[in-house]
Amino acid sequence: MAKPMDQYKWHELNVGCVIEEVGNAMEYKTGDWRTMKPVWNDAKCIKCGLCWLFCPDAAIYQNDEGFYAANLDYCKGCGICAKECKPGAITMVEEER
Amino acid sequence: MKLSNFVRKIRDVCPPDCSACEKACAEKMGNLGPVINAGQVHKAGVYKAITCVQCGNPACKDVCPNDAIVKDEESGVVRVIQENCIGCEACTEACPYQNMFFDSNAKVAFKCDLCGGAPECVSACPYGALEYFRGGTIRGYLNDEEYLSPGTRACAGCPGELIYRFSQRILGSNTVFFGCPGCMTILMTGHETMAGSRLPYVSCLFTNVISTMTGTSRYYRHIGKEANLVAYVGDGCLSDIEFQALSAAAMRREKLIVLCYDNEGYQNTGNQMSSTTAFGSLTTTSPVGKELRGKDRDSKYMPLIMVAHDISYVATASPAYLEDYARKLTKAMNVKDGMSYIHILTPCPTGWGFPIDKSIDVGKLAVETNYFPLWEYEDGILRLTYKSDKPQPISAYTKLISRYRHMNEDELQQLQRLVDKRFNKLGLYSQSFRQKEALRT
Repeated sequence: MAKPMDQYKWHELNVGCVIEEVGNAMEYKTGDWRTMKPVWNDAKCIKCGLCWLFCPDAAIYQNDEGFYAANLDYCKGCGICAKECKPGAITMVEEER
Repeated sequence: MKLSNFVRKIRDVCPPDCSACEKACAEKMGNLGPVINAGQVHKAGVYKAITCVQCGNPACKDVCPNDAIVKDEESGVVRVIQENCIGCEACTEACPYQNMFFDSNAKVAFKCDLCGGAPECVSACPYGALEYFRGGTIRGYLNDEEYLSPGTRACAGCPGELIYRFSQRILGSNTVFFGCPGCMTILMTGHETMAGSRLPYVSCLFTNVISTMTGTSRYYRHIGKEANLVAYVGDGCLSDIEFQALSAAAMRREKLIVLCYDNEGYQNTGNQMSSTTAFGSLTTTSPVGKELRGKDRDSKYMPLIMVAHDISYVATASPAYLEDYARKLTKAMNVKDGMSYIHILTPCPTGWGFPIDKSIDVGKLAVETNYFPLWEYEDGILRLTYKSDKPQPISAYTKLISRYRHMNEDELQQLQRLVDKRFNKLGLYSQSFRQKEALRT
């Protein structure tokens, strides 16, 4: 269903522009907006969870060991997590493509 | 998802000869000795944790051969059970932050236990340099489910999106959002093709958000359903275009929650001036040239206008103070009757012109400089919920933001006067209310 807005024809939209799929923004990967990506240093991480709390895009998740990581499909690379990380465990590194 | 509580340094103001925190700690710990080192506190950078950080998966606990170290699941505090300690010192070596201590006389390990929830070092600091960070407390306000779906089209680093996500976690699934054309419509409907949230959202016009909510609330009353009806709309809508309907609904005592994300302009259409835009701001409709140097008037202070309507709950909030916001939104949610209004300053990296990772810093400085004071109003009493001990001059805030870059010394002083005037007015309000309280009791 989800594709860029300019590829929609008028007759493909629902009446009243109702979106029937719940939370289908997930199909739109914002990860390619990014120029810098966050990298966690687990040795410094204190698992306080501030990065997770302050991520505007809900793109940070906690893995099985309790450390945090970014979902790079959606991370827009804003760097708020690195700024808010009090122990300095997150650094922003340039994305290599 | 666990968040922990710990003590951190928030201002780089401690002189090298002060050791108030260490003394207070030593007094509290008795014969074991302090677990905080004044010299290290002085050397530590801003926002660094300076005592035990109460790790989620403590290394000290893992190496202890006698299970003498436990992590309290509820408060997150890591404790040493001194009866079980055999004095092997394995934990002092294992701690990556050197925050585990050993008493060679008593042969026991000891560490910071956050004084049971009210750290003495924080209250003892005469400069207000320390803060008790309560991540665990913030977590307590939140639901377990994430309602925002990533992949929304909000700009990178948008604090408006952060507040939206955070509000959803507090409000829970029994919520309907309403909005109007603006940044958050792009986020929530993605131009009518992509829903950015798993909660229902009704896209209205600029002038009928509150009217649609009123109709919905009447219908819900008719079918006997209760839900949080929440408007998440911008300053352009609420303070300019929608103001009449908002004022009318406030007078009708409608039970609605109105959240205003104030990005000081029509940022969705490319930074036009709104009535909450601050004095001197450069926008596309208040340009800088020979005739005009940015906006030539002071901004409209919406929250005080809502106080004048005497609705059930009015508050201001900032994305940099999430615990404060969580508490206020929970209060607004529990209002039995009448409208609640929360005005949130959401600095816009795209429109205001600052680096995308500085959104939270700018929000924090707005509060620290008294530009955007945090307060709440309920039952006829206005109360400041955060008071900066030493307010910074407004230039500390404006120098971060490129929309104020053209301002000269005179203009900055004028902005400072406007900020002081507003803050004094708030102070007078809260004081006179307090006096009235005192008279009543």
